[in-house]
Amino acid sequence: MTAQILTERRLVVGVADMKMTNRESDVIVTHALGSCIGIAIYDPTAMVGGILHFMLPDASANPQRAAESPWMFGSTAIPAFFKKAYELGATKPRLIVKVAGGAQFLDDKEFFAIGKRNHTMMRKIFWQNGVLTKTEHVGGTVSRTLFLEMSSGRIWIATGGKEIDL
Amino acid sequence: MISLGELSREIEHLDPIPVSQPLLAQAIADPNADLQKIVTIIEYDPALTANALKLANSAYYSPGVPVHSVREAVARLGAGRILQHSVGRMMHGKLAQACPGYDLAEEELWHHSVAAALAADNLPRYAKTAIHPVAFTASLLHDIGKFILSRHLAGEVKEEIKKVEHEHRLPYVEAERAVLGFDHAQVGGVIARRWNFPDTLADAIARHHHPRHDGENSALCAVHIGNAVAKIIGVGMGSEEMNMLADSASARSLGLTPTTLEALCATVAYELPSVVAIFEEESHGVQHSHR
Repeated sequence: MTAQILTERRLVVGVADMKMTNRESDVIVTHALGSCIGIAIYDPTAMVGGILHFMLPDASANPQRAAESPWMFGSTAIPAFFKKAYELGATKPRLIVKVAGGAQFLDDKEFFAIGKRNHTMMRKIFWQNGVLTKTEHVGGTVSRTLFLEMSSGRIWIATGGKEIDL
Repeated sequence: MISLGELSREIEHLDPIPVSQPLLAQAIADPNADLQKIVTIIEYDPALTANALKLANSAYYSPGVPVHSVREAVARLGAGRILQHSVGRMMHGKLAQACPGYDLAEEELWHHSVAAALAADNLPRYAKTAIHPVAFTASLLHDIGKFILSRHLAGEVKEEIKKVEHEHRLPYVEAERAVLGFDHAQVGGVIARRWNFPDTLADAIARHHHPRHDGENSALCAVHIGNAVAKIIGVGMGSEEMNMLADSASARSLGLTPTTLEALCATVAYELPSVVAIFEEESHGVQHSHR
């Protein structure tokens, strides 16, 4: 019997970026989620999963950059990200959705509350489209790394030297 | 645990910088200095002249019309940007090193520094306010104190700072100050003064976590905002993460709104890779010329 050649492949999602796969041996990771939001989605039946790392809430703040960098703004990136998953065979009722990020500076006037505005934008789009999140690990002042292991569907974060399953 | 006095003696032994850099910074900070003085300072330093001309003719800054003289380069770029690139070229080797005391991997502090400088560079487009031209260099050097302090934050000291931060719910920089008696921003200010940079520039580094917004030092507000923008775009989180004050009054004093702040962040994130490449190309060029 030939050995199964399915070595683990690590897909790294940059800031304002996304990766999606239907390969069981993949692990997707995104680092340095501060005020940015990371959305991990996983459909175990279709074996489709992905992570989106968006940076800012609303594309209207800078339409030129939104056109050049389609994963930068939640308002445009989130619908496009889910559409990609559906094109690969995922369905909304089966999708497991977990979220991390949305940290904030210490800011008395909420001027810099981009993490909060990112989260609000995401909740609005999810509410409009009937998407439910299973777990969220958001807020605070910490930086998080978000992982998705396709073979098991395990989604977890690393923060402050600890791993936490979502 | 190291004292600020011991650290100052260590800073005394840092490599000197070319004399043209503080001279140019002082001329930029002097409201009475004229264009000819700035041009003369650049022209007397062949490396600075070569850098200014190369930068002015780079794809990033050039509208297609070649620049042949220092005077034209200053007109195209502004003296503040020429100084920033000259200092960046010189500092790349240091700032690109890992700073384990701050959980910053190789290149992280460098990219964070360039992102902050790029934010200061782009501020006038979104804030509609004149930014003091030393802000470009001050933003680039704002965390130079971390480079020096990192090696002294091994093991127990680093853990103590984290412990104080969590137990007393302090911003990272305040925990650093509580444990050490001083913080990385102050150390950066000591370095800038050691290099004879003007007070406006040294203060903007030393106080970048404690900005004033009385209109006296727009460079300080610009550095404070530049640091925040670099964190928002996820560059250089380190052990400080986002546990720092972001001062809305500083942002408003520059004429920023929450929406224009987001537009600025988008631009910095998008342009960062190409600007990092310009700095690194320049620094490699200089290494070759010294061989």
